[in-house]
Amino acid sequence: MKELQTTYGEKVEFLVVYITEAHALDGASPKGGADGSPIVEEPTTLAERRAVAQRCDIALGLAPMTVLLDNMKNTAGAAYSGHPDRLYLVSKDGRISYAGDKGPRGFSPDELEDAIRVELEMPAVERKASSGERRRRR
Amino acid sequence: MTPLALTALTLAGLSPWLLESGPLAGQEKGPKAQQASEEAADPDEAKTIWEYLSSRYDTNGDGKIDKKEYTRGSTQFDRLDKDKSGFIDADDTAQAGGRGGERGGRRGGGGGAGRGGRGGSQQSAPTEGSRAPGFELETLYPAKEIESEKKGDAEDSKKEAEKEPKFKSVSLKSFEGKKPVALIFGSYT
Repeated sequence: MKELQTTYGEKVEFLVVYITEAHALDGASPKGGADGSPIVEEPTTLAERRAVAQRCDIALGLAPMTVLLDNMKNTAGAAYSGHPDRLYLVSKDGRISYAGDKGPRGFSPDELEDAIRVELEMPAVERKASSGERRRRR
Repeated sequence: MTPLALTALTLAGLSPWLLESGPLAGQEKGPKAQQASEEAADPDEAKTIWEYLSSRYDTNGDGKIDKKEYTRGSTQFDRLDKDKSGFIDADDTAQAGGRGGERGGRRGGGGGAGRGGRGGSQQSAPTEGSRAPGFELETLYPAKEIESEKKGDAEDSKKEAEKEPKFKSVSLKSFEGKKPVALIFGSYT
């Protein structure tokens, strides 16, 4: 994704929308620690979510993408069915030009790139055949 | 975000500045007893959930966390107290870790099916061609970092902003007519 941002970042705005935790240790689907996942308590305030998002940024390096925090009603995550993770591309006209499938299986930076290139009227990228089927050619 | 997704995100690897800056840089790990009464142990250094919880909440060091010691809500407490003993202890968290033993499914991306039922509060995903739902959300970092860049006088702007940290709100609609927007939804876990 960082490579996408580097390549297309001048023409496309990349926004990370930080939503409710997929696997908070005190959540409905806990993970953490021994299984290699980060140890995170489910944030109950925006300040707590901000702190976890900062840990995420430090660990994984989200910059220079702008990171936005979903509110504690999880409005954006719900509106986009973004849980646990998902990719979209919104056209200049405000319409959704690409809606990825639900992650992790549906989380496909390649598909996003294809959609970006269509949006920017660039030729499609040549890729070696991958296990995931490309959803469509436009 | 799932580790798999974030691996994709960080193809270029960690930027050097991330390792040098940020709130966690330079922190030293003290003895557990000390940390119990101070701010939580560095959660990225705790190896297990029990290590994290005990260093944060087991203030009397008796190996279990009772409701008085636990400072978060009762919903979370009940979730963590898996055997309903009235305490959170290492046994409870061992069970939690064990449940994560479907890790094979996670790595292989085959765990997608289970996630659909979570919460039930998700609307169905907006479809291609439809109007993107609008939102206006706060940025992760305070506005000073954005302001500094604009003014080009980083030091002064920083001093100003440090007195009153403000978080900028960004609205999706603000990009309409200007640029396409790639949206990446996810979380650390």
